[in-house]
Amino acid sequence: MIRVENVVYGHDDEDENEDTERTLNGVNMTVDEGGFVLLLGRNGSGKTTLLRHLNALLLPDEGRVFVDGIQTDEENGKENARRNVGLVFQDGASQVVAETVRDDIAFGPENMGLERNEIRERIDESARDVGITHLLNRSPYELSGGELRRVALAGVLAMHPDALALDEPLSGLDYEGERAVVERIAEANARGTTVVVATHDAEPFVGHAERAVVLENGSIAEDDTPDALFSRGLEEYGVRTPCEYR
Amino acid sequence: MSQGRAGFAYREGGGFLHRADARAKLAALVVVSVALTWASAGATAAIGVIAYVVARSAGITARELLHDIRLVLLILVVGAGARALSDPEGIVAGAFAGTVASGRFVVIIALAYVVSATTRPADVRLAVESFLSPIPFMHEKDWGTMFAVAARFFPLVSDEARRVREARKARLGDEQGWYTRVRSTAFGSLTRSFRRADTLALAMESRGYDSARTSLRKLEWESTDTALLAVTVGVSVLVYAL
Repeated sequence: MIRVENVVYGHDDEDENEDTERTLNGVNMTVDEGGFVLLLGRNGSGKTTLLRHLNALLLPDEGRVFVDGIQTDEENGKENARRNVGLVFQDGASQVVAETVRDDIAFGPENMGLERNEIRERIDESARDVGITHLLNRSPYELSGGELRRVALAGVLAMHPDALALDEPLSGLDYEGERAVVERIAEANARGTTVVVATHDAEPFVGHAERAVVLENGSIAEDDTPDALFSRGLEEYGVRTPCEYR
Repeated sequence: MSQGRAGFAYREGGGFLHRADARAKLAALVVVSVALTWASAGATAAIGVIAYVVARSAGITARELLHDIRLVLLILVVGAGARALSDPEGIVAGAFAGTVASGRFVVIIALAYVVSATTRPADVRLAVESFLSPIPFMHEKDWGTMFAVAARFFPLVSDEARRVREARKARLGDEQGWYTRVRSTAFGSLTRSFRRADTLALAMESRGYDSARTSLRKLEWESTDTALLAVTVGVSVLVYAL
């Protein structure tokens, strides 16, 4: 379970007008185990910053983030968050740290100190899960945007995280790529993985997500089921209403 | 949206050099580089020919190599020119000495290019760790990672430079003078490279980077690696003696 308590980030001590500097401004949110939550909002609303707190890539200036009961800024908190919350960046290419797809997927399990055989098994398993077995020996430089996105997903799945935090996982993908990535995410969720997706386009996730949280200027503006939120429309927050609700 | 091949990047292959142990390749590179420091013009040319044959056997064409190291070539040409103009023994002797000195660098860079193209950064990491592990108080895992990241980062810088050049060309940047072109490309590439380095560090951190990590890969020293190193040492001794 992930719990975000009154998180403030981006506060500048020197600035008298504190509110204008905050990227996150007192965010409270709980994501239950196995849940599927959409983080919605316009560009700059704080979605990416919030996602990075879940993986302890960022630590709150004020407030607390708990992953499986362990606070991210306490001892072992970072390690716990990074093992248990797999963060997939918006740009798949920027997440790649190795010269071949196989080595890249191995990166996380290597950091976990796993034995060679276990690493191999996890590479095969996660590559199969996202349908990139044929790409394992390829250089990431040769791959398309959609393929890179799946490589990035496989890289975090190989760590067997309890939760996935995905930042705009569909940006720049064509229809087929979009469908493939959404299917993989939904499958991971069906296997019990908690999913948090930051996106400004909720349409492909309708039917999968059970909850949607809307961020506006670093604060939570709405928090309800996708059905309830889309029925009344979210255009005022820069979120396009999915076709079936128009 | 293929990004294309970046210079100095590892490229998949199954030839002799791809199969060779990273330790043998790195040691051979160091040995040849040291020998080239004392090499005569003839010996430098001979090693250059060998380097070309080795590059071809790894699937690297002269065109690719020259294209990817052209900026270094430019700097070396300028350096050789400066030597020619400033040599007290005259312009001809200076040009000759400058060309030989630049030639040595070109050969070393070409060999480094070949090693980089045929060695996975993960293997570079293991090789560096292996070299440093006997030295006390040396954090060999951190050094290994540093070398591997550098090996990974070099192609990224080259990729960023390519993107900046393309973006410039797309907006008629070729119409500008050479100084403006070089300045805008260098500034853009540098800025983007810093940003890319930051993202690379974040990507490593987000997946729990830990210096006490295990490795999927394992280096295995074969008799062919001993042969490679022995031949390299032999050639290097010859170069030194000639």
